[in-house]
Amino acid sequence: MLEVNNLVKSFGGLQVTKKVSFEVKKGEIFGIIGPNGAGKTTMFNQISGFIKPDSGSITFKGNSIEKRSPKDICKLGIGRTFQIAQPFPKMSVLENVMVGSLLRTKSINQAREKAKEVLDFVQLNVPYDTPSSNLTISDRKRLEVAKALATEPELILLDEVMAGLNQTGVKEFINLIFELKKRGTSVLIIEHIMEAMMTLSDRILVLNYGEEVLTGKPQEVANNPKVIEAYLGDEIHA
Amino acid sequence: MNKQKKGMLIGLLIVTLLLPYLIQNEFYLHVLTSVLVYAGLASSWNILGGFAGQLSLGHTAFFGIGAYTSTLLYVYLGISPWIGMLVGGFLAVIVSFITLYPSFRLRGVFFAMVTISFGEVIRILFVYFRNKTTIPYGVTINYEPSFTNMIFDGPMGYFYVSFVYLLIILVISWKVKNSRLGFFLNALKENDEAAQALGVPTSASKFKALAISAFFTAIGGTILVQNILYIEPESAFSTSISTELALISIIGGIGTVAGPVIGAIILIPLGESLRALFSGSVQGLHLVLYGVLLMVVVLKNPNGIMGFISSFNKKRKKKREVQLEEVPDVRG
Amino acid sequence: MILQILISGILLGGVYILASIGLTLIFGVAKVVNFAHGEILMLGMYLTFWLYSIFNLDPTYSIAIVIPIFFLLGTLMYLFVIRPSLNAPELTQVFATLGLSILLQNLALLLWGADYRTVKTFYSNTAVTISPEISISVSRVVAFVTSLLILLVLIIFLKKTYIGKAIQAVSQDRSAAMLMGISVKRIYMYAVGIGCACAGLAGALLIPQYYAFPTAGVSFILISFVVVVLGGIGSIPGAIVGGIIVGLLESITGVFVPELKEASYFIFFIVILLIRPNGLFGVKGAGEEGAR
Repeated sequence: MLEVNNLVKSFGGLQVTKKVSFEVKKGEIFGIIGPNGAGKTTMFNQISGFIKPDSGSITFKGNSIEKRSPKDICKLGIGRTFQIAQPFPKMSVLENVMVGSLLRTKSINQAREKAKEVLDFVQLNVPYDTPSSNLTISDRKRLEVAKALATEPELILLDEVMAGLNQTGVKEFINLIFELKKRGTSVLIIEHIMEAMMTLSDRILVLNYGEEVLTGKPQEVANNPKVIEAYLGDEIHA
Repeated sequence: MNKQKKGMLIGLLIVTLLLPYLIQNEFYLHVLTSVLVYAGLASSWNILGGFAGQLSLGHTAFFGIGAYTSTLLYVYLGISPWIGMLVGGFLAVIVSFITLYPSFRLRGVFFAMVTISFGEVIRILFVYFRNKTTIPYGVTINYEPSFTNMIFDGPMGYFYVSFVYLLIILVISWKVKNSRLGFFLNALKENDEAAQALGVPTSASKFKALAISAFFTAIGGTILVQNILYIEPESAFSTSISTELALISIIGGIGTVAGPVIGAIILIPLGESLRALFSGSVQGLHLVLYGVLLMVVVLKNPNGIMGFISSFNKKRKKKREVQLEEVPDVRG
Repeated sequence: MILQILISGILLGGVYILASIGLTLIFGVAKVVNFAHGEILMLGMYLTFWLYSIFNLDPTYSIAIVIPIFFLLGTLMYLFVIRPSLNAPELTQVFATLGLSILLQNLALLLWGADYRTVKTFYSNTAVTISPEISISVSRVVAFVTSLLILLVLIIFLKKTYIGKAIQAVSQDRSAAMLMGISVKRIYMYAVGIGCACAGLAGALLIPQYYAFPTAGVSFILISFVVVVLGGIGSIPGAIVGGIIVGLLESITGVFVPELKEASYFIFFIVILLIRPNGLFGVKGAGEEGAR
């Protein structure tokens, strides 16, 4: 469904993505892990069109998208969340999500119904007219996911949606993501919470200093000495 | 919109329509007409400045283009201002596309700086090219009242023309605000990166707002000049027109449909009566007041009077909710 | 002919530098564009005019009075208008000082009427003829030289004194300056005060050449926008280069199409802002504010 091939990106002299390749299959939950500064969010920004790669290709459903704008990529069916939730602060929760659902319909009423549906799905249990600036951190994360889901993506990029949540919050999110998978949505996810990643992911890509360390099943990744080294090495350097 | 609100609006409409019969005084009727035209002009500005958040200080260019196009077409070619008005509107859209559209990538203050310069450039270019023609500095429209000429033999005609103009722009404002475009503009205004990630078309949305805004500002220019029957570059392309439209919207409540109307209802009569009271000797007085008002409003309450009203409503609602919540407490 | 154009362009540029230096100083420090800058300059013209017509004080000497008064005016403006809009939305940042500009313009109209006033010094209408083709107006030279001197004083002040260094530190990196123990808010106040003093001073030096009237500031603020954006807003060397460019542009188009000389630099300005929002020399910081 999504194919990333030999992607390269540098800022100034620093290469933040070094010839990375991977593929996300339909209906798969694909995880990306790696220490801070490994280039995970930069990867997301390239897939969603916010940053243009220096070389390499990104293909989604057979369309090459590495030169497309964020808006076109979203239209093609890739939704994304931001690491730091980006609500429209003066709009209500419902209106926030409606901005997303209006991508697929011109009718305000349909968009509203769709938005309510999505809000119920992500279990954001606050009144629809709550100003989004009044939300707690975990509700903000839910709203962030709801906005992206409202655009009816076939692939959704989740950037640390569980960071800062408590145990129950994390569990609820894991269930939510499994639910998404059941619905046939592919998921590309960045997360620091290892437990969650091990439970969720079908396959995991490990990045370090912008380079692929390995790609494999959660079990393979967990037992790989190179992965352990990458994380421990990071600890020592930090 | 609920039934109560609808009823109130229809009532307001009927009262406004009957006003010319209730007010026999010509001066009051003139002020009322000015309120309607300026409310329409400010509403047009508000579609770009308020809904899209692009604080333009160059709208005088569209105003002047509208006013001059219809006037010149009428005076020199005998084309009815009704047609000239539309031509001017489209011309303004074309000019807006060449000038303001490329400036959209500039942020707030810089957009304001560029647009204020655009207004000046258009004025200077106009004055320059006028010198090459036989068109006099000031153009007077001959007083030949007829509907086709958009010239009326009393304030009534102007009142109704202005009324229809305002009504149309308000309906469009309301439609834009409550449409997909309105949502998109609002999202872009609040966080354009997040909006793009949701597939919101940046350029297309802003251009639509700009086109509507420029078109109706130009139409307002025609209506105002038909009322005065005289036009000159310094007043038609004056920077103060741009600031006045912004001022009216801001004081009433920027980004709301009713804001510009409320702003015009307050500011225009204030200005006109101060001008009438202190003619000649103290001509700047109403503008001094405008300046003070503008400063106080943006510093103390940037949402204007509409913001004041909505926060009042919210407080009242909250009070009601608190009372409701207290009920189970008592039972418990 | 070419020499004449160059000389008058540079002389004009000197005036424009002086007129816009305060704007760029305030922006550099507080990141606020002062839309009332032109009106401050206009008030400087009026003050000098009244000092001249009441006390018969030469514009060059009135500087000593103009500077403290306008510094004070600037600190007041900072306290009542700029400080409250520092962290406010864009709407407030644009329209607070724009409101002040409307207020001052019309206050001037109310107090002094729409008459054009000027100061005639003994050198006002004299010109020095260097060769048959080149003649230079003395008042322009006086204004140019004085503005160079003032610029020099300003630059020495910024480089050598504590407040000057602090102003530069704040304009380069607000948070680092704060960590170094600089009272940022106080520096803002000084910067706005100095910026206003510069504008008032510009008014004083310009009155022998230009007329004082309520809307006299409008054309100067527009020129100042061009000057500071050309050089990169917030940068003082940028403003110097920008001023010279605008002066030259004006004197060149002034020869060919005098009616369009204003349009020429506006168009230049618009093109620059659209293709290089950081200014010709890409000053850091301005672009982040200018375009995203």
